[in-house]
Amino acid sequence: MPFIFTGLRTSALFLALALSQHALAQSFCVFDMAGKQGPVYGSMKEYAIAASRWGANLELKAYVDERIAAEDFKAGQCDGVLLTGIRARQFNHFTGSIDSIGALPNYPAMKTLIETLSRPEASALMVHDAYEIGGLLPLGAAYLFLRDRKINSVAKMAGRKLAVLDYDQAQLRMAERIGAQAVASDVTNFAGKFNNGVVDVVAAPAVAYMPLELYKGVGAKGVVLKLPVAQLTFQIVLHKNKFPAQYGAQSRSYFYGQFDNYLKVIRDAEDEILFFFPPPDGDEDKYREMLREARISMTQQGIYHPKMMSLMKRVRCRQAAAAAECSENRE
Amino acid sequence: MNKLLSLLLATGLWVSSAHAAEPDMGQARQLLSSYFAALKSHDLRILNQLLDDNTKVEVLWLDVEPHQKFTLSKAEYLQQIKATWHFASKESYDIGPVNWRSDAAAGLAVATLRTTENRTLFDTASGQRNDLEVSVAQVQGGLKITRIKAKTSMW
Repeated sequence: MPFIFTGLRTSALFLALALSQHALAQSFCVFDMAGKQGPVYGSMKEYAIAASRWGANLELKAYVDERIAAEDFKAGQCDGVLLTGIRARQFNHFTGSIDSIGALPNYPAMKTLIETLSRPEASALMVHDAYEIGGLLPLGAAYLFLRDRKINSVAKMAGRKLAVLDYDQAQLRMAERIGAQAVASDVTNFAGKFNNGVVDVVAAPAVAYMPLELYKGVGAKGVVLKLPVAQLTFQIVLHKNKFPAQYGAQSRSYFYGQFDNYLKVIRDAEDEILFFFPPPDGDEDKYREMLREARISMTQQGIYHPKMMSLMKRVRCRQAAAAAECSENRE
Repeated sequence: MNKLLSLLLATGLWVSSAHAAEPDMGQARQLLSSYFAALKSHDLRILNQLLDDNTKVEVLWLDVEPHQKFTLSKAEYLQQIKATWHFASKESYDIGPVNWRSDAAAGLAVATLRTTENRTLFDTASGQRNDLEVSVAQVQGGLKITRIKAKTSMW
């Protein structure tokens, strides 16, 4: 009789363990244009190992279409998701405004920002409604890729076709400001449009250059303007109640610790770009000012979060205190 | 007397610093020859050694109006060379006659020449013509190229 009870107790224990394992598993959806074979998905496998130390059991799922990843996340089919910052803006307006026009001039500034946002004091800003930002990763500066290097000024952009992400109001407004024709696109098709001549100009990070063959669109007659128009990010978005307490903070800290690894990938990608030329001597300040005015206008229109604009201004002014904007009060 | 000696010493020092050591012209010629040999043989290591770390490459692009000038750092210049080698095929370099002059005040040997580069890029016949002014100086670390000015047309 005692043996039977012991057997029953052991079976119950195993059943409880099995159920608890299943209950702790979280679905984590990863946007990577190369799918399961891609480098982003690969790096999330490392993340999943780290996450197990914080009480999570991530089951990864690859998405080649970011829009579907975001929709599945919203519908609750993913407990967590990795998206570009622009796509993540719908879940957290504050962090989604990091990818704003001309806001961060270089990678040290991005690192400083992510470090700041990984601190416990910033935790409240990482949560909006039921969502929590579980990590910020650099995706690299967005540069302008042009099919014709004779489009060498903003004035010459007028009438030219510019691919814009149709879910980013900022890009649509920017196209209007410079007189370019906006051609609605998304991350899965903008490169094809550029390479096939449907559009004359795209903005993209260096990590897209080889995988999406943007060198074909630039060809022998084009140019890649070495002036960041934005600093892009990947962001981890979580359904907060699906993860253990403190998971978000641990996750954010993890990704900050990975910054230099991601930056190396970005730098290596930039090293491969042909016809990668800076703006004409003396023009960089003028371009930065144009981007700044656009950003301020878009903040006033509600596209960007004013608190994030203020924070990024502090980061810029810590680097270059003598800049004219640092004595103004417009951001 | 001591004041006079101090004054003479100071004058001597001023004169010697105003005229930095001129490069040996024979060595400057050899350096430039090595530079183009490295370019042709895709030897990035040698190019890196022959360029001073503070080298600026000033490009005046002639194919737009007004002509557009931009400046590359040494790192940016070498990156572009490496990227060109990666994508190009059927390359040829034509190095024109080199004229040398000495800029004693600046301690430079300056070469002017025209180069024509032809290559195939993305199945397209491509290339560029450069009217170059290459400055060579004795710096810490030896004889190096310290500046390249290029007036360039591209096709």
